[in-house]
This record gives sequence, C-alpha cells and structure tokens, in this order.
Amino acid sequence: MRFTLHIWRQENARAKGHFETYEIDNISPDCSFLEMLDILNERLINDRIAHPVCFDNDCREGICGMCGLYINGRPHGNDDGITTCQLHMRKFHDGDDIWIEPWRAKAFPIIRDLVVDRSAFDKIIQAGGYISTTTGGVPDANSIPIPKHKADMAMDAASCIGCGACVAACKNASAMLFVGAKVSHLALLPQGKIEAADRVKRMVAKMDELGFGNCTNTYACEAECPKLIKRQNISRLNRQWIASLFGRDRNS
Amino acid sequence: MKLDPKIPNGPLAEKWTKYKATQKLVNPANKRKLDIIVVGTGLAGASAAASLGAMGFNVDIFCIQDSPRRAHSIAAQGGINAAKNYQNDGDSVERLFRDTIKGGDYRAREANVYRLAEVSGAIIDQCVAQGVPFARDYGGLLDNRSFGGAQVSRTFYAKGQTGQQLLLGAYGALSREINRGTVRFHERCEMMDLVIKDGRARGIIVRNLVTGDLERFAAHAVVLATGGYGNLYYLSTNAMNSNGSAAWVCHRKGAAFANPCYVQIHPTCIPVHGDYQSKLTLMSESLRNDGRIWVPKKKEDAEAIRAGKLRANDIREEDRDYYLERRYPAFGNLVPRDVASRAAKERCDAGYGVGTGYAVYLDFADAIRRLGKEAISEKYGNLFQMYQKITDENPYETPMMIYPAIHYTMGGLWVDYELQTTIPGLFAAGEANFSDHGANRLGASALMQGLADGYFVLPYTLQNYLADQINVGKITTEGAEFDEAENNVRQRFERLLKTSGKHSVDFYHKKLGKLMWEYCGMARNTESLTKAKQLVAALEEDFWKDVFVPGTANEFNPELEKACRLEDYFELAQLVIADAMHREESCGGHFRTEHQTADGETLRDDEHFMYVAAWEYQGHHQPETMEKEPLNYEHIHIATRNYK
Amino acid sequence: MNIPKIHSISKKIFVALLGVFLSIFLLFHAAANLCILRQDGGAWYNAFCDFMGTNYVIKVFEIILLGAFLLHMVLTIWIAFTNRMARPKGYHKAQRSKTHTGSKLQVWTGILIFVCLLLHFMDFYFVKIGLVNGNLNFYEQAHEKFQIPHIAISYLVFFVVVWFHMRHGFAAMFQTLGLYNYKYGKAIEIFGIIFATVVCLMFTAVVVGVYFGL
Repeated sequence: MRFTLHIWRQENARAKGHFETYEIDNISPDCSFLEMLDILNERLINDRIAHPVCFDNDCREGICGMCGLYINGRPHGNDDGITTCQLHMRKFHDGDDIWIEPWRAKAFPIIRDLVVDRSAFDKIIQAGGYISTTTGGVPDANSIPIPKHKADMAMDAASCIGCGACVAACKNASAMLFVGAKVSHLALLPQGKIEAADRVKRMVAKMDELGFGNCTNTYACEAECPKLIKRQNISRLNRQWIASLFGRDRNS
Repeated sequence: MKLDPKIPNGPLAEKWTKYKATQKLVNPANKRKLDIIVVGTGLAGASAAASLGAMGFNVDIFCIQDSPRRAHSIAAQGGINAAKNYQNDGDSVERLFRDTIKGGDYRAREANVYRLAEVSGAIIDQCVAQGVPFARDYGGLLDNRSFGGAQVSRTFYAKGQTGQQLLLGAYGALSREINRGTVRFHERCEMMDLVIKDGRARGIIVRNLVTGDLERFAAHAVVLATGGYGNLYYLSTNAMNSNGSAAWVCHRKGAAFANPCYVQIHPTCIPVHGDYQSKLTLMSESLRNDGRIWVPKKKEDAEAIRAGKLRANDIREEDRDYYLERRYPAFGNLVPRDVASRAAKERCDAGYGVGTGYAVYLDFADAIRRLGKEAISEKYGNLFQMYQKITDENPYETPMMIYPAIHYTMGGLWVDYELQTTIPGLFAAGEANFSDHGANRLGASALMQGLADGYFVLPYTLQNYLADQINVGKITTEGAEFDEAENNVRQRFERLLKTSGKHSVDFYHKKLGKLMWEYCGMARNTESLTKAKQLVAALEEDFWKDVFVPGTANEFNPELEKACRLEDYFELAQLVIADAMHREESCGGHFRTEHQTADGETLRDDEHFMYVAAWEYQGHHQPETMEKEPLNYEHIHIATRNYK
Repeated sequence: MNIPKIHSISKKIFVALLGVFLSIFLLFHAAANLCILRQDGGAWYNAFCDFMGTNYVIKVFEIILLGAFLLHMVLTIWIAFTNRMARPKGYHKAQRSKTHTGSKLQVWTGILIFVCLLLHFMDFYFVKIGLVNGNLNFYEQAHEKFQIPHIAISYLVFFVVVWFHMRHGFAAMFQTLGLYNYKYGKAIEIFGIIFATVVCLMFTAVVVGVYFGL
C-alpha cells in the first residue's frame, strides 16, 4: 500500500511547528500504524532526509497508554476501542492521505514532534486519586465482601490507561472522563468510600488548576476511549462532587 | 569477588521471621535524613518507593517514560499467585514454595522462594486495601483461577489486566507519597551510570530524555528495579523501551550478573508475520485453562493448511494431535511455560506447524460448546478482541494461532537474601534480580515477586543496611567519582554520535535479536553457541563501522537512547552465550540439545550444575569470570521434574 | 478584587439548575398561552395577563427569572471561554469522532434564542413595562402579530431552536447533576425529548392556531 503522510514536526517545546509531507510505499496491510512510522523513520535515517519523527510508544499492545496520535481527525485513528499501536494499516485505503497530529491541549504541552507532556494526569492522581494505605497492617482480602456487579463496574472504570485520548478528542480539552474514571473506580469500592468526598474535591480542584476545559456533554471522550470507558463515570463524578459539597471531609 | 548469600540460620519456615526479629532498625527521626534512589517504577520499584516513603525515608524515583504507570508490569495479563487457599483445594505456603522450586527446575534459592511464598498472602491483602478490583464471585468474595505448573487454583486476577491493576495500585500508593513529599518523582530520566564512593553505591547519573542534560543524584542506597533484558532478542513480549542497560552499567561497575542464560519463552504469543514487525504480543497463559493446543496429526494436512488449501476447522477431530494432553496427561495444557514452548517448537520443527509453519492452534471450540460463548467472552473477551484486532481473525470461530516468544528473564543481577548485589548499597528487585524463579518462572509469579520485593522485603532489608549509614551524613554529588562517571557517559555519547554509517540502530538490533533467537533461543548446543559468539562479535564490529545515530545529545533523541541500549546488548549477548555454553545441562528455560532424555525432556545434571553462576565483568571484550553459589536444598527433596 | 473560585463542575451544576428552572417556566408560559385558543374573546387570557402585570409576588418572580436567565447565559459564556483557553492551538483536521451534535450547537442555539427573545420582548414584554409602544391587550397583540406570515414563521423557527436547545439541555442536565446512570440513561434521554417536544408543540399550537384564525 502507499500513503501520503502529513506529519506535525516541531523541534522542541518553544519552536514553531509545521506540517511536513512524506510519501511512503510498500506497506503491508498487516503492518501496524506505529510500525509504518518505524519504516518511515528508518528511511529518514538511512537517506539522511530529516531527524526521525518522534512519537511516544512503549508496550505496543494497547495497555501502557504511552502512544497517542491524532490521525485524520480521530485520536488513536479510525477504529473504536483501540490505542494507536493497535491500529493496523488495513484500516486505510491504498493511496490515502494521512494527517498525523499530536494531542492538542493547554495542559499537554508538546515536547517534540508528536510527543506531548502528559504529567498533568499524574498531578491529578497525586492530588488524591488513591486510597491512603501504608504497607502492612491491612485487613484480610476477603474480610470485606464486595458485590460482584460493583467490583465489575469498578474494574471497568479502573481500566483507564491514562493515554489522554479523552482530552484530545474533547472539543474543550476536558479531562472529566479521566477524572471520572478514577473517582468512580475508588468510590464504588468500600475501601475507597472513606476518602471519597475529600478525593473528588482535590482531584477536581487540580484538574481546574491545570487548565483542562469543562465538560459540555459532547461525549467524544467516550467515543474515543480505547478502553471504552463510559460517560456514566462522568455522571458519577458529578454526583460525587455534589455529595462532597454537602458531606463532611477532612479539610473543612 | 566473594559470594555470600547471607541466608539466616534455622529452619526454613522460620528464617524470615527470625531475620525480621533480629535485623537492625532506623529510628523514625533518622529516616528522613537517609536518602534512597529507586530506579524504575514497575511493580517492584513503585511498591518499594511507596513503602519506603511511607516509612519516612527520603526517596527519589526515576523512570524513562512520562509516568510511573507506563512501566511494563502494566502489560501482565493473567494474574498473581498467592497461597491463600481461599478455594479450599489444598494450597499452602509450603505448596506454593514447592511448586515454585519445582517449576524453576531446582535452580532457585530455597530461602528466598520460601519467603516469597510466605509473604504472598499479604500482597493480596495490601492490593485489595488499595482498591485493586480483583475478580469476585457472586457472594462478593475473591475468585481464583489456575495457572501452569500448579494443581490448585491460587491465581487472583482482574479481568485480563491484572498487571495493570496491581501497578495502578502501587502507582496510587506512590502518588500518595509524592503528594506527601516523601518521594520525588523524575519522569523521562534514564539512568546512565552508577556512582560508587568508598566501595558503596552512592549515586547515579541520569540523562534527562527531554533536554538531554546529564544530572547527578546522590543517596545512601540505590535500588534497581529496571526489569529484564528480554529485548536483547529484539522481538519479545517486552515493551519497546524495556532494556537491560541500567542493570548492565551496574554489572560493569562490579555487580555480579547471575544465570544470564535463563530466559523464559512464553508459549502463547501471536506468531511473527513480517520483517517490519516491532514486537510480539502475548496471549495470556490463562487461555490455556480453556483452550486446547493442537496441530494436525498428518503432515499432509499441515502442509495443506500452510498452503492455504485447508482451514483449521476442516481437520476432523481424530486427525488432530493434542500433543500436550498426549505427552503430559497429568497437567495437560497447563504444563509450565518452558515445557509447552519446547513442545510447540518440537512439533513445528517436525513439520506439523500451521500458518507460516511456526505456529500451532489454540482452540476454544470445546470450551465454547461446553460453557457457551457468553461465558468464554466474559472470561477472555478482551484477549479475544486483542487477537482479532491484530490478526483480523475471529477466535470464536477459528482457532487462534500461537507460537512461543521471549517473555521474561530469570537471570539478572546477583543478590543475596537481603536483595543486595555484590556492590554494597546497591539493591535489585523484581525482574532485575535473579533470585526466585530458578531456571523457569511459573505463570503469575512475576507479579508476586515484584510486589513481594517492593512491599515486604526491601523495606526490611534496606533498613538493615541503612542502620549505620546515619553516621555518614548527607551524600553530595561532588567528587571525583561523580565527575568521572559523568565524563564517561559524555564520551559514550560522543562515540555514538560520531558514527556516520548507512544503517539505523534498529537495523542492527533486529539482526542481533534474530541471531540470538536462532542460535541461543529455545534450544542451544555447543555448535550453535559457538556460531552465535562469532556472529555477535562480527555484528558488533559492523555496528561501529556502519551505524548512524542522528541528532545530538542535547535534545530529545530516541535514536541515541536506543544506540546506548544496543551497545550494552552486544556485551550482554556475549555473556548470555558464555553462560549458556558453560552450563552443560538442560534445565527450565535453558535447553541444551545435547542434554535431553529419550523423549525430549530436559536432562539436569545436579551433580555438576546445582549452583548459581554469578559472572564478574572484566573489561570490554574480556571474557568474564564466573563464581559459583552452591544451592543447598535442605528442605526439599530433589526430583526429576515430571508433569506427566 | 477577589473573584470567588467556582470549580468547573459547580459552574455546570448552576447552569443545569437554572436550566431546570427556565424549563419549568417555559412549561407554565406555554400552558398559559394555550388560553389564547379559547374562543372567549381573550377573557381568560387577558385576565391572566392582568394578574401577571399587577401581582407583586409575580413582579419579584419576574426579576428572579430575568436574573436566572442572565446567569444561565453568563455562566455558559464563561464556561465556553475557559473551554477555548484549554486548547490554544486547534487541530488541522476537523474532528471525526462520533459525538452528540447537540452539545456543539448548544452555544449557538443559545445565542439564537437570546436574539429571538429580544425580538419577542419587543412584541410583548417591553410593551408591558413601557419600553416600547404597542397594544397592551396581549390577546389582540398576539392576533395582530401572529397573522403576519413572516412573524409567524419566525416564531416557528424560534420554537425549533428552543426544541434543540432543550433536548440537549435536558439530557445534559441529568448528566451534570449526576443522575444519569446505566439503568435509566436511555429513559432520561427519551423523557427529555418528550418534554422538549410537548412544550414546543404547545407554543406552536398557539401560533399556528392564531394564524389560521381558529
């Protein structure tokens, strides 16, 4: 297969970026999207055309959340429930024009080319996205039974990989699905209920501070989430937030 | 070099209790004056840093990715073992210990393995308290499944994403400590060298991968939790950025490297399908609970399938060879990984392979008939979906095709009972050390070991080491040792960036991987290893002549990162080959074709090789010297590993 | 001056609550309008308008309503503004994700409603408070205006816009107030559509009825 690639190139955070066009040929339809970029980079290096295109990737099996490209108007490309590394070239047509852009959000500054800094997500988690435990001194694992459907819902919310596709897809660059998933995961479990009010307050405050937008109920996040995390989690986040306004918590 | 495993005296079951009761402690006020560096944020690193931070130590933690949550522990699918005996099926600490020793083909240290089994239950308690959403049954209690090498159900799981959930649990605990200020997190930083002062590990040099700046960090102790070196083989189930370099620079500085030839080959991976391929995807071992592995019984059928004339479903039941069930009736499809991998290779080499000829079937038709499509989809839905995305085939209708691939390295930095390497003050945890799995790791044991090391071992043993370090005072980043280490790293970059050949780093890495897989992979012999040794040396020479590393050291430059790692792999490859060559026996993941039984099983030589081979670096291109740590089995009766 | 910090979700909750308030008002407004269709020469309707024009409780309520309306607007504009700030540089390729279009239209339908509302006020409310000259008998005023084709059509367009705004607003309100869940999600959406449709049909009935002289 052959493609015309339009790739965002930007040397570093301060540089002004631009699109560069590359032609690429002889790509197998079984090739993954990132392997196609590997092939391009190989050529850029061998023929001394340019510095290879930088893009984040690691596990290449859809779980680490490292990769994330905005491909032809969709985060992670034109398929549902996948990360960029799980996108295969058979999803494209021979001769296609492919536009590849980095995630765009104030909270995700560009590092180089298609690599962005997502440490904002870590900061939100550090603000309270955990259950405060220290090692040891915890009760037996089976001492608190958890209804299966609750555990399953918590699991679905917890499957977030922190890739940032929700922010990239949202017209407001909102992180509500990411925050909603973590708040839901922990609020659904008895262990997480104790700090629930405090947690949601701190995480939302941090989210606002970092410059993410508001949710305006477009649900592009849900459509693009590689782990198919549902918008019900945003609803639960809102519910938790309202409850926290009336509930008692450590800081008030 | 003197190897002292420092195993406490006394009966096996009391060793760890006794150690904890008599070890030295640091008083709470002094803890914050002691600095610890942790490299790596996987299960072992994150859990260690979180635990140490919570205890009050001053911790700096580093990772090469943009977040601690990216570490490759996240990709573990199947589960984590623990001797909880929730299923009332006869499990116990003793049994988990025995299974692990046997699974490791009697090449692991008894005391370490017993401790691992002993703390396994506490790991599950800890994770549940952190909010890890393990699978539960309808009564709300924890569910289990079984894994290879065990006849009990002791594996806890969270869908097919157990590693992810455990890592996110540890990441949560770590995030809490970062928020409290006891741990400082450094993202996108790669450890380039270890700094030794007065014979003790006192700091590291890291490269900030965004700016390219070299930075110095000093501490009273350094913990290495940087994972294994499976990417030596290029195609593996490891992540693209997983590498062995941090461990290797420590080895260069004097830390012994143990059992490098023990690499695990996972039987159920999606087969290789093209030259451009960058990695192999694992299909969880849990699939073997319900999937049945087979190849055609008749060679002509296999040939027809390969030619595309027949499909799997056209082969009648009586013409299928369920070779694992045939050869190992007691364990069937749930034999340990090394056994299953070799059996697949044996069938494919004999000409019965399907697909490209290097694949076998993993068939769910029986399970779907028995349990219904719903139940199978509930259990393995995400794995099936993953398979379909990659191969474009529907595993509910046609059997999956699988083939073994490099997955895990049992070898690693030599550590004593306290997880301390031969460099005082340098500790190694998780896959980076060699300790608990012997010559073969059982499924769902890596997660157990990583978390055991981080949550329940290092917090004790590090404290024991640090107890007298309070007298040393603050360690600074000044001094000749730091200058020299930093200069060496700079020179290394210069050397690599000077190159101006016509091939990329990946070009050489692929070649290295391929030849290692071919000559030092699933089966080895004197001839293949000799060949591998020459080919690696030749390839390394060619690399220096003809590689091209673009860009500079002062920018975000993934090519330079890869080049440094590959440079280390060339040396590491030689060590793996040397170790494989010297070990004239077959055990676990190390299979020497000269040493096998009449029916193709591994043939150990306990008389001559019942030891840990710890290698010492002697300089670039110098053959390394080997020290033996004898394995004394006091508790367990040694037998031939038998899964029939 | 210290601007009090209102968190993003709180802002949205205010917008949603104000939306609920305005929706209820619309329902009452529409119900009252239906009196016009009574064949009583406007007796009921004018009596009602008279009550609305003189009762002090209603006057206070009127101010609250106007305030609610303005606050609903100000908050949404504030939200839209921060949302713009959250992505300083946009994408080259237009978004192709599957989304609820209602949300993207919401600001625009909102602005359109504001403009239409001003025109609507020119016909009625501003007349009442004496800003604009006109017939104070709203029954006659309505008959006068709605029989002019372009005004009648404009009103119908207005109602369609209101329908779109309410349909999305209703579902979004449930989501924002945390009431949307796996069990009732679909039902809530359908209820929202029914509510918006009923209210808009009631308004439409009056305009169409008057136009055709029923």
